[in-house]
Amino acid sequence: MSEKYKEVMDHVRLSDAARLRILDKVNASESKNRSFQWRQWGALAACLVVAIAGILVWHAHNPATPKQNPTVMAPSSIEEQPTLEALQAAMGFPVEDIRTLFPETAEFQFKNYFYEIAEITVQDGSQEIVFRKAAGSDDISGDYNVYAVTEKVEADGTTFTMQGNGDTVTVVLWQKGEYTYALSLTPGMAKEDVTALCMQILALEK
Amino acid sequence: MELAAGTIFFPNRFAADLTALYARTVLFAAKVINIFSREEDTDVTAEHLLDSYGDAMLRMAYSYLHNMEDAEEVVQDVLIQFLKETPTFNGSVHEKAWCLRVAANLAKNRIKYNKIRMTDELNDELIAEEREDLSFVWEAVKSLPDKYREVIHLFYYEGYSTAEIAGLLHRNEATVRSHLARGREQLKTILKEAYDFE
Repeated sequence: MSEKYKEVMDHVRLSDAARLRILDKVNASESKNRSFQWRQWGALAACLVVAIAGILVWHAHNPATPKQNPTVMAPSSIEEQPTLEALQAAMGFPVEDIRTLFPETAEFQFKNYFYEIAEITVQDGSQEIVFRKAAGSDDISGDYNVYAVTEKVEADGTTFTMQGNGDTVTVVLWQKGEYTYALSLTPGMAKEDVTALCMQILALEK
Repeated sequence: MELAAGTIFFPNRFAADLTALYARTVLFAAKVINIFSREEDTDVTAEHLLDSYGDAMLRMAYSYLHNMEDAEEVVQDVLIQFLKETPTFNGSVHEKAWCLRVAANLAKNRIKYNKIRMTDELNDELIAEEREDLSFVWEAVKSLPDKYREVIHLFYYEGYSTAEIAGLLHRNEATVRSHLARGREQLKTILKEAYDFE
């Protein structure tokens, strides 16, 4: 523990006035939301109809069979998966097998975040590459730094947004179909190498 | 393929999809019901977060934004987001981690969209107290890139492990360790004899 940094941060506190101010504004915001809640009764009714229909269809297609394991799975927010296949099974969508793009000496780690983001981390010598995929269009890189250079590169019908310091690229973002992708590179790599890697990953998606 | 312990085995993909749809529908319905049933509890819950983690959220936001007004607005926005999302927590550790993660993301969004002010009341206060030693440390930490500074703050002030920081920031643990090491190196270079981040 850094005693001096602790002493610095101990100066940062919410005053009583700030606390009251924040609560007032939060309450005001919540009052606005409540006026729209009548719409949620309709949504609740629709959900119940879908839930009942789901039960009926499920039972029609699946006669009762003994469960292989009666214990209900309590999903963890972040789970390490032993293999790419296990990651795909957990996510419910295909994840590009980027292992084929690296030498046999490279090491791979598979993780899912909240069953929303699939992640493959590659350790190839001193180069670390984090590949992420999720449904939707958000930036899932987890990197919120402001980079000196942001450049868009078009390749094979896909726009890659590359962020870095000008000499190297550290983050790449792109979308393909209904999925969003991100690459994080530590250390940053030359743009030509990153572009080539992205093209190889695109080829895997086909 | 070896299944994780406690996994329900579905006979086919259709059954798995339908059950997932059913689970999500019921969860959504439960959340809607919860919104009505906890009308009386809304203030208490948001107030509980503010009382328990308000200072921690403020410090997290301040480490990015360097001024009190923006940091307080981030704390407010975290509570508003809590009321919108109504997340379910598995205990106080999860509660705090959620608050800090959302505070970090909201603070970073402000930086990204240039919605920050240029004052630094903390530094002003340290100088007014004639604590140039602390001001020196604060300026050194402030000068770090965001990705190093946030790890330094979570490790040295909040006491999280690198694995916990990785989970909180949705980052790879090796990356967190690397950022921590590089942050320390830069601080050592700037602070020299004043360096005490061990």
